[in-house]
Amino acid sequence: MEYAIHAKALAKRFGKKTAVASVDLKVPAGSIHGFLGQNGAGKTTTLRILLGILEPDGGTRHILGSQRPLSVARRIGYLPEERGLYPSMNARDAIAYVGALRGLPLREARERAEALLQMHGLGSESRSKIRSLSKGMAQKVQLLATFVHEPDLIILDEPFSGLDPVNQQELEKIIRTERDRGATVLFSTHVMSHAQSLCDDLVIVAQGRTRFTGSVDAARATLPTQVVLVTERPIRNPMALLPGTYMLDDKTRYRFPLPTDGLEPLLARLIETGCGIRDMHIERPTLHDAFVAIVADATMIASQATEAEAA
Amino acid sequence: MMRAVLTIARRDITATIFSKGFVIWLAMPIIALVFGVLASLATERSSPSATALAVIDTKGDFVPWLQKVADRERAQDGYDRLRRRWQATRQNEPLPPDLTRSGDMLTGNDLDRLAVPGALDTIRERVNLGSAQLDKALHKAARTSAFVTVSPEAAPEAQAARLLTARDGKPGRFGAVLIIDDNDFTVLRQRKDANIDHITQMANTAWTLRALHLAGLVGRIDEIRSEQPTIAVKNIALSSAHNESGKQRGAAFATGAAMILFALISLLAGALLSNMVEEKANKIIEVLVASVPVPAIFAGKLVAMLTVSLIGVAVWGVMIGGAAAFVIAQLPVGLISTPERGWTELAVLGLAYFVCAYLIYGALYLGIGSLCSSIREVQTLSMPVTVLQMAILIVTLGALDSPENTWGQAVSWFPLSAPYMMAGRAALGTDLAVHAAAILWQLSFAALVILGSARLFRYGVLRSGPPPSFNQMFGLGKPARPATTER
Repeated sequence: MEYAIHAKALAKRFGKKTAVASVDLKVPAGSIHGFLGQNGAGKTTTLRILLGILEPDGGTRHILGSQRPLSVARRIGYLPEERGLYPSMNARDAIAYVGALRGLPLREARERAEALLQMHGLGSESRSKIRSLSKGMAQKVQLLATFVHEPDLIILDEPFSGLDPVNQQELEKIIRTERDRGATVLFSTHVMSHAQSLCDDLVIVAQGRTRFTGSVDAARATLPTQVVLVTERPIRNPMALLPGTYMLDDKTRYRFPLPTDGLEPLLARLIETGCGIRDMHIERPTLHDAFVAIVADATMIASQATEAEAA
Repeated sequence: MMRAVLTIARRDITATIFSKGFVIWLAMPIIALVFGVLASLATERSSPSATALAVIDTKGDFVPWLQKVADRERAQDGYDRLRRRWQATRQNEPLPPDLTRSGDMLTGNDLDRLAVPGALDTIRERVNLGSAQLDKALHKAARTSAFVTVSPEAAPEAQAARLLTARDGKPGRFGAVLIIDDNDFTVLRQRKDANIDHITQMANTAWTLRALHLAGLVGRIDEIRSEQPTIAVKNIALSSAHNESGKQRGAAFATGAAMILFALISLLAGALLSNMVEEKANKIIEVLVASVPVPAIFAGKLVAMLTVSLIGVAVWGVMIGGAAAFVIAQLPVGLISTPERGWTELAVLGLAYFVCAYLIYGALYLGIGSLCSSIREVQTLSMPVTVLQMAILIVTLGALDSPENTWGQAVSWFPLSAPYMMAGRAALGTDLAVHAAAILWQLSFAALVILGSARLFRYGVLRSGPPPSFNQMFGLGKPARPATTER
């Protein structure tokens, strides 16, 4: 399989602080890849290493086949987490400037910028100064600047933050269009709904390490299928009857993993208790559930390691 | 890389030259000039004019003598002025026949001839002592009467009091009134401190002149005075090496060149720092760093500011040069001396040292700017460099007195002072080969500073990672940590 990004054991320290301990990343060419993690998990640092903004202290990286990201910079589009454009530039020139930095001749970059602005409903703002645009519009302009040179690899750091729901939906559409054009898209987020609806594959990082790599389904499969039960009356000693259960909002709603021997024996036991079954259904874990569980797991491991080290 | 440099430079140049700040920056000399002219006009208007004099001559026979004295005074003043100008500009040339005698040796007849309108202009043109514009004040004085004659009334003192006081009790248009009644002379003045020395002196001289005339002695005195020999002054020509005035002129050029360079660099360094901080504040820096190599960003910014500064210098050069050319055209030949190596060569060398100084200090400031995230931080961090620059300028100006001794040589080749010192030495007429070597050395040092500052810039722009060591900054050693290592 051809990988647009292939990074192994990336590490980066800032002074005494470890920002990235060991991150592995394999992004197949032509896919949409999610890069998930909590705030401070090391996502932005990893992306900066991949782009060559930072040099890693350890590990290897191959971006579009090259170990030196800047040598393939013309084939990469990047939207940083901290958005920024020159306030005194107009929208068309701001996009064209980034295009020119990525190797497009200025005239062509301007033509493409104009076309992109028209296509995305900002044609009338083409000559407006960035400082006169709304925050959302300015963000859209920067997004368009990321695509103007039709890159093979697009790296977006928290692209959905600050966008209203309509624009978030439009961004999802743009990302899919870019993938359909043949580009590889890697985006970081901590909003699971976008990852769930967009990603072919994803990586979850926590505490500076890769904790999961695979498809959305595979991530969801890391947690057992859950059963949600609603009863008329509280069950006496629910932990014994329903292993791994936890009560939801009151003493009559329970959630527990689907028993390995199926539902029938469980149903029989429940009927015996006389609790009165009002509702019972099976729920597949969401990506959100999987993410929370993976991150919680990583945090627990890390704190255990710290305790062990201290001991 | 070059394309990236040009792309960044083009944007920065466009952004700068189309900004209001740049227009103000360009117009600064004009604004300063306009303010200067306005201030001088205001000062001229507000300064009290020489005590205006009214003369009441009860008999009416003394005023013509007073007028003659005033005319002669003015003629002598103009004559002395021309003489002084000749001596200032043609130090080694003997005075021409028109100006041989000193003003106080001129006879009454001589002064009467010179008092005729246009007589002094004719001499000035004949001996090539500049344009008539130079003697504007003299011409103005010629058109203004030294005093105003007022027809006498029955009570001259009461009349004088009225002339000195306006209706509302404030000072009138005259500062003093001279009442002449036969041999009685009285001066009435507004204030005790009003200077009436000139008035009394004029009256006394006029009285003497009239008395001599009445005694028939004027012709004889003129005759005697015209026979008075002039004292010949001969100049001994000195070799140029010992020509003190030449040395003084050279030193003035040198100081001027070093100061101009310092002012320009200080001005531009500030602009460069602000530009860098703005870049970081706009957060655009991350897109730049991800798109092109950091040295390209660094070089692009340096090239942009250098271009902007050269545009500024060119515009100022045309403006100031034009104004200077206009002024020089009015001045007598020789008043503005030409530097030893000529203006063109000096300008080219000055430009070369400007570029060297700009690259050295610009790179330093840009490196500092990359470490700052606010103007306050910029001010704090750039202060030591500014102080260093000031100290270097002071040392340079001191060393310009003796550029050839050991200290002068050390300042000439110490990289931070070299551009200023060598710009100064260019005005003193140092050998071109020395300048070629100096420029080469300074450019090499500038390259080293750019290299080091670019590393610092890389560390500074994203504020990540440990600061580079000295060896890393100048690429002398291996990086502290390998960029990419297999685990």
